[in-house]
Amino acid sequence: MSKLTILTLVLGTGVALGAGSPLVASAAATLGCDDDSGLCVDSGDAKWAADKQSTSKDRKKRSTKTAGTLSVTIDGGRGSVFLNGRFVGTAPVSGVSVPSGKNDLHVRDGEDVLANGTLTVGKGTSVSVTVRHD
Amino acid sequence: MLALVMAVTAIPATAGASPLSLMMRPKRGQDGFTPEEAADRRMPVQEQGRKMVEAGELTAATILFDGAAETQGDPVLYLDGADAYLELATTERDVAAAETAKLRALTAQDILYFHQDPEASNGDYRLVTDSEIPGLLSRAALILDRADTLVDEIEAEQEGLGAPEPAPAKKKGNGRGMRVAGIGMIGLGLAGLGVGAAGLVVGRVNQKKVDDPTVYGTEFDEYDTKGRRGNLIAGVGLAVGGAALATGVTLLILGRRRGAKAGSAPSESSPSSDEPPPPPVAVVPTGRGLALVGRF
Repeated sequence: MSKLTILTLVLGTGVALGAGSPLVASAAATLGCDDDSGLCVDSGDAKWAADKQSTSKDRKKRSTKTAGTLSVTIDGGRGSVFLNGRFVGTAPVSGVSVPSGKNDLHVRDGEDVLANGTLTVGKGTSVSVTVRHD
Repeated sequence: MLALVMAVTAIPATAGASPLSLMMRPKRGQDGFTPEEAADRRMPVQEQGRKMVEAGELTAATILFDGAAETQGDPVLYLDGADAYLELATTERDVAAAETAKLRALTAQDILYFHQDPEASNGDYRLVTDSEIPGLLSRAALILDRADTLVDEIEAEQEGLGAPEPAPAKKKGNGRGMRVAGIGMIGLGLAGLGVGAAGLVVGRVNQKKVDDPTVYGTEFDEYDTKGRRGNLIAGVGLAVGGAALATGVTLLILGRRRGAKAGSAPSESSPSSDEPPPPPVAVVPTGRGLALVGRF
């Protein structure tokens, strides 16, 4: 294989990768949250269980000493975020302190409940979730 | 408007702190919060905000309510803030303030509906009593309606102000300026023609000298140069003079027509109906060339 052929192959691969990466990222961004519950965990050590509520035992297990942070964005509309029965803010919210353990997360726009369930958060983790606004 | 804000904000502030309810305060958990405690906490904010609104310090009032509402997550303070924004929007005719009033009212609605949802909300953490919620929801809906109406009003006002006024019709003069310019151009044209004619004469004279077989050498060159210069002057003078004369005559005719239309043309320009109207300007041959004849 000549030097010119090798150079062409290297350049071609580079161009293909350079052009392909933004497309992949763009496709991922436009996909949004397609979970039936209306909430997707984008990042962080967390598990979402829709239509569940924490028990008193769960509440006792929550630890603020190992709290993490929570960010909530709403895809396609507005809404307010409630964590463990308290108003946190109007989305998007970020950097909200969230105890490790099982937390009650509720997002609504007026009468419409966008997401309701428990978010189990690992110790000291940063969790980011997206809620779909139908 | 101010009175309405005052009246509306006064209701929730006192409703939760009535003597009866104070006596019947429900027990709460360690991390809980009762509507009475919430009312006590919001009262100083409401009083301060009310004073600001009365003093016309509307922007300061919105900042106060925004900060307290966010910190306390209190729907009543969100509604108080919405009222302040609405007052600001009304006073300043500010669409952005009206839109913010709507956002605050929507947030208040979210919190109130959340309180109404027994499965989601924490029974130990109550910022308003259940009996207050319908009234507060009505208040939020009223704010939203008023904000929408206000936005429409302000936008209609701004469209009215922003619409370009019809340009005033360009006032047509009586043609006097055109007539004066025409006369000037005719004068310039005549002068140009005169220069051109002189150039022709010079060229002709020198041509004769050059054609003379006794003239030669340096003398020949001198006459030749003068003749060429004369011809050049003749060409330029006649061309410029002719163009200026044509322009001047056109301007003069247009000026007279405009003057006649405006009714302010000189009286002598109106010929009697018996005789045919003479041409306003004419170039007529004379024994020594052309003459420009007209009434200006």
